[in-house]
Amino acid sequence: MSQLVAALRKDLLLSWRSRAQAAAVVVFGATALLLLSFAVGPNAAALRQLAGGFLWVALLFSSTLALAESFRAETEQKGMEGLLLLPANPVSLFYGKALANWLQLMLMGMGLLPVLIVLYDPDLGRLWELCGILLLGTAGLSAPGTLYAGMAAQVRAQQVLLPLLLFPLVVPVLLAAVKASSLLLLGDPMGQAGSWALLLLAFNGIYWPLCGLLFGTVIEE
Amino acid sequence: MPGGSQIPGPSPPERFGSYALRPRQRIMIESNFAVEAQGLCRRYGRSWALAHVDVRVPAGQALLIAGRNGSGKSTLLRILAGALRPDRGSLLVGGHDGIRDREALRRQVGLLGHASYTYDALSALQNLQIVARMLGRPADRGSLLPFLAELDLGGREGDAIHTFSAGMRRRLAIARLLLQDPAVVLLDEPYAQLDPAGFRYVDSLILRLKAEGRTVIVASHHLDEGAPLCDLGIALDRGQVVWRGSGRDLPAGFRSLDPASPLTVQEPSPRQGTSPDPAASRLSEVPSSTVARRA
Repeated sequence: MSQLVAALRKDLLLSWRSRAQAAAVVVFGATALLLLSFAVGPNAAALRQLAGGFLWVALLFSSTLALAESFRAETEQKGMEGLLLLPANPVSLFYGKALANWLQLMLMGMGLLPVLIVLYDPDLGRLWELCGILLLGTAGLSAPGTLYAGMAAQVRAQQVLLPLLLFPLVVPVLLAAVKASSLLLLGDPMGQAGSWALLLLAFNGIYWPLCGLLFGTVIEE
Repeated sequence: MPGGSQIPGPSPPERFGSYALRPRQRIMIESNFAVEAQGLCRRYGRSWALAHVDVRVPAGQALLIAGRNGSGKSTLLRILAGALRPDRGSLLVGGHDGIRDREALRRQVGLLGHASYTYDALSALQNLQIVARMLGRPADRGSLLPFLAELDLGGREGDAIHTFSAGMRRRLAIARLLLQDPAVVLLDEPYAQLDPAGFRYVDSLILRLKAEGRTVIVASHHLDEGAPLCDLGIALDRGQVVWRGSGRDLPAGFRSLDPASPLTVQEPSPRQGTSPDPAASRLSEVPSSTVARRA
């Protein structure tokens, strides 16, 4: 447990030190939202209809950059290898990094919400529940994203490999998060958002422990 | 040659504060050797970086690994540190199977590698704090500053590593290694990027580590510095051991590391007419020399 706390502190500190890059990633997400709104055109009803989906697509694209960045510091001077040789428990290192990435993706999602409001004019009557979906959805991106970013960091084509590995795996997250967000933004007369939230919860319940167990195998040679 | 460090710092017992160095008795070694590797082989792709390498080092002694670039020195050290798995062979460190139980291996071994194992965006002190917290040791400023002061990094503890020179990074990596407090210390090119004062410090460090009962394995190109301090020596060429002896008896062909000079070496002969050489007497503990002859 003490190693997990130490790893989390280390990763939060590294995230804070690279906050300029994190801000650039948020700007990238905002730009994606802007371009997608241009693609739809000046149709307020269509923009509102698609707001939930576009939010998660922008967040997914931005998350690959943020996840890859979180391992750049580990590969520069082989920081993570040095910790493994201490020896540090790879499970602790995984959860420290995954939790830090989750926090970062959450903040990115919160940062994109104002842009979404300005560009897509969604109904924010259930804002707190939308934040809950952001919490669960970003958790679903963070755990497998950290695992695959750790794997991709060891090869040259990491910027290409990470999305190729991650996107197929997080299709259930994207599907559930988009459905739940759209229901919350457009109205949910049948009360279906809770079911999608449960799917996100189940995904996290499976992948957080699984990725923690696999991380040691992935990052060792 | 070994000598007092030019780097200012208090005497060793005060220097390490709460990190009182482990006395020899705390290192539980069940084997006759602190490090005992047999038949280590490691392949990168289709080429063998190591082929049937045997290494035996008694506790408290130093082994020099000589060889040209690409001879397999770093691969051997990385296997001994638990950073790489050998394709074949066995490894006992402190009596533990270092291949099956890499955690036990890593608890005993510390590696000063080519990379500094630090985070460039963080300060020197923060880097040491990460290591101390991972090891469950005190991570307060007072406990860690002496490690930086010993490596002449006092006053720079708050500076980010990316502002450091290559030599300062190397010093920080040594401070990190000392904080780890391993029983077996692996030094891969410890003189690289250091200034003359740093050379003298590494010499004194090797002697100090041996005096504390730790086992030291040094891979170095700076053989005039490292070789005389080492009780044992091996030379590698293309992943194979081509010479064994004591560090001070390293043949000239390896000492110069001149690519033009052949790696044809002679068996080390016992010294005559001088006081018995303890390093030479220990040669009986290592396998007989292998002599490679290159046309």
